Amino acid sequence: MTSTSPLRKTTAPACHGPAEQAPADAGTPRIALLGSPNSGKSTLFNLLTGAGSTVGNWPGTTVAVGRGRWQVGGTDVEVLDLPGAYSLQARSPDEELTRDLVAADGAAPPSVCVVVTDAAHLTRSLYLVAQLREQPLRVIVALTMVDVVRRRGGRLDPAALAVAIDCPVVVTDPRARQGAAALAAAVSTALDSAVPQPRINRGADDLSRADDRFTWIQSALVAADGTLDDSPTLSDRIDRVLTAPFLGMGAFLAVMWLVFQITTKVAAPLQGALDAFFSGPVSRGGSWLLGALGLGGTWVESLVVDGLIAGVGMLLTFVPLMTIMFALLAVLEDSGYLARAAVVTDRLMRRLGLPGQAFLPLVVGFGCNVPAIAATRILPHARQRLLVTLLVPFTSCSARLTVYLLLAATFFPAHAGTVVFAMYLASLVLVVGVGMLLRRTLWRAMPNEPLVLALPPYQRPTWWVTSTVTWRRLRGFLQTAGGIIVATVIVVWVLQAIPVGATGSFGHVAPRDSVYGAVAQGLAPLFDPAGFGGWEIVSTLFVGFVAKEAVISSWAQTYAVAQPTSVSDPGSLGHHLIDSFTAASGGHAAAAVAAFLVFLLAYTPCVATLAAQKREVGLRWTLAGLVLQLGVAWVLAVVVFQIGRLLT
Amino acid sequence: MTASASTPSPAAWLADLPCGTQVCVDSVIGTTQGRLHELGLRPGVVVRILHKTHGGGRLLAFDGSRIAVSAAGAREIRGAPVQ
Repeated sequence: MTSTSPLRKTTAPACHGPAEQAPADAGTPRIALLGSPNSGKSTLFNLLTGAGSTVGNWPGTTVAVGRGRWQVGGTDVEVLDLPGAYSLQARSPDEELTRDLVAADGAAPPSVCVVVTDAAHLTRSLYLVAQLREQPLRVIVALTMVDVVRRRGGRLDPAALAVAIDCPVVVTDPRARQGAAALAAAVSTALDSAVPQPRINRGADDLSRADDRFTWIQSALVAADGTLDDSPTLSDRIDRVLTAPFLGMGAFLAVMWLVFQITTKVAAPLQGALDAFFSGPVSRGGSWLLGALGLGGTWVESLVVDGLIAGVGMLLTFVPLMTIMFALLAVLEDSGYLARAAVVTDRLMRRLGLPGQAFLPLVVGFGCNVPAIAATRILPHARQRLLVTLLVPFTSCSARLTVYLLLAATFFPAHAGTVVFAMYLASLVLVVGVGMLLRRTLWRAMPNEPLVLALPPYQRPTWWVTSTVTWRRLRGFLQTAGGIIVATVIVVWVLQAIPVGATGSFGHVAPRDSVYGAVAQGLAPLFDPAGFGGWEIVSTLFVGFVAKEAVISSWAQTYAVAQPTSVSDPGSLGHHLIDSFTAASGGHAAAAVAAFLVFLLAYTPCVATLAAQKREVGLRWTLAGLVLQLGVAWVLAVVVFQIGRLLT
Repeated sequence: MTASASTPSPAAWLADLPCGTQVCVDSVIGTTQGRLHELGLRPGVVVRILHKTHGGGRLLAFDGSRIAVSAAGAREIRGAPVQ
């Protein structure tokens, strides 16, 4: 099928927020994109809707749905990229949403259902088409991988297939950006046509209805001359290595190591450069400009430089990290490797009731929790994504490492390496422990079926798919997380700027005499049972809430000493810390520091992580996670200190 | 693909059959039944056991599809080897 109708990409309206999306405008035709996981559905969605599309949770759910605008034949239509589903027989919240949104008797049935159908796996792919054809819906088949079938010596006549299944069939290749115009023409025609009569399924129960559909599919394949040479392929030969016992796990660990190294090592200098740029030239420029306006040395300068510029700077330092992470994820997904990784790690992760894919975000979390939470999107079901999103903050990110090193070098100089190793071990125990706890309580109902996964053939990742997916995810992160990060940095600045009592003035007050100091002093007794109830120690927990990277500089500011040039040589800051921990713990400094380290490991990693969580699972679960982290951290810190006190 | 000329052999669970075997599916039981049925793996279909995967699962080939099943999943599919 061909089309001469104009095709223009338009952007989603502003009301379509990236986190929770508003319902469609009344009267706007709604096109639902359906297909099995890994069918290329989201690639087609990106091709149709362009960069203006958004992905966010469907209202009232944690299920992500892509939404965008597309113009077909002069009409603006809304395109929904529904969660991947093999059939309308829902086995997860994601599949339930797909089923409900395409239900012909639902609140807002789609104007047209476009089913992305893989020609290389037609029998399986047409099953969903068969189910949709049993409802009064307009159905169009977007047939992909036709070139693969022909390359493998198979045959298929799309026109004959269209006649056999009684709905339009459009050959598309979204990865090569082909077929959008023909699809637009087909959708335009369908919108002008009456809804076709549903096909009658004569089965009496689920299995016999399924048999009826497969009989229908087989007769359609015969009519379409559909044949496929099913001899071993290159993908089979690669799988012989990448999914093999032991070799497969080795390959997976190598890939994870590479992802971890690239996200931390490659991004680190870029983050450092951006940080230096904002704390250097940009801050100096801001100060100079405000000085020229006569505001130099005032609280306004402090607000702009230490609040606004610092906040925006902090947000932007995440951009290289997130870009690299999203690009790597896109490459792994597009190549087909992620499905293999799920197979290899499945047995290990099943112990937590999670599929193998859950390993990736948890590994990435040891580099940085923020991209790790974004990486939970590779998980097939919303409840699994939610569980992993709550577990990721317990993975010890690299920002916490500097504080471990400083405290270990200060309090346990002879065993600093062992202490840091113990913290990473504790992190693993914490992830498994909290995971099993949640699995046996809140997640008891989550099914734990044996793995059954259709593997797509390997393919070379394309620049277009990688860059489009990366940009869309990065933009979503900046839109959602940006405001939260900048606002929190400013709030902390304001708390530090407001004096309590007669000492100092707004913007010119020592930390101890500010609202920030007063709040820390008020909350300090809460941490007495954990042995670190001194306000100088507790106050850094607030700063650590914003970013763990700022803990050491905050201590240096509180004690009015120079920040140590190396965390392995704490200098005078170390002496102040020993004094504070000794005083707060009644002479059991070692036990108190151990408790503090455990608290630091278990409580909220940073505000950017919270922002990422809010984007993925919504505010309610983010707050629940926050309470969980604080609760676990406090209980463990108290236990560690109380036991440690008896031993020291 | 469905079985046409098969040599009668005793049915066995896929987990107990060697890799490389072609099997005519006899029955699928347990929690994976519905999902496998939708994927086209149902009684009468001939599948080839390609190889063992990490964790004891199997990679299966049928109708141009490649389906990975865990060790537990392979113990829910029963079939008779065919030539």
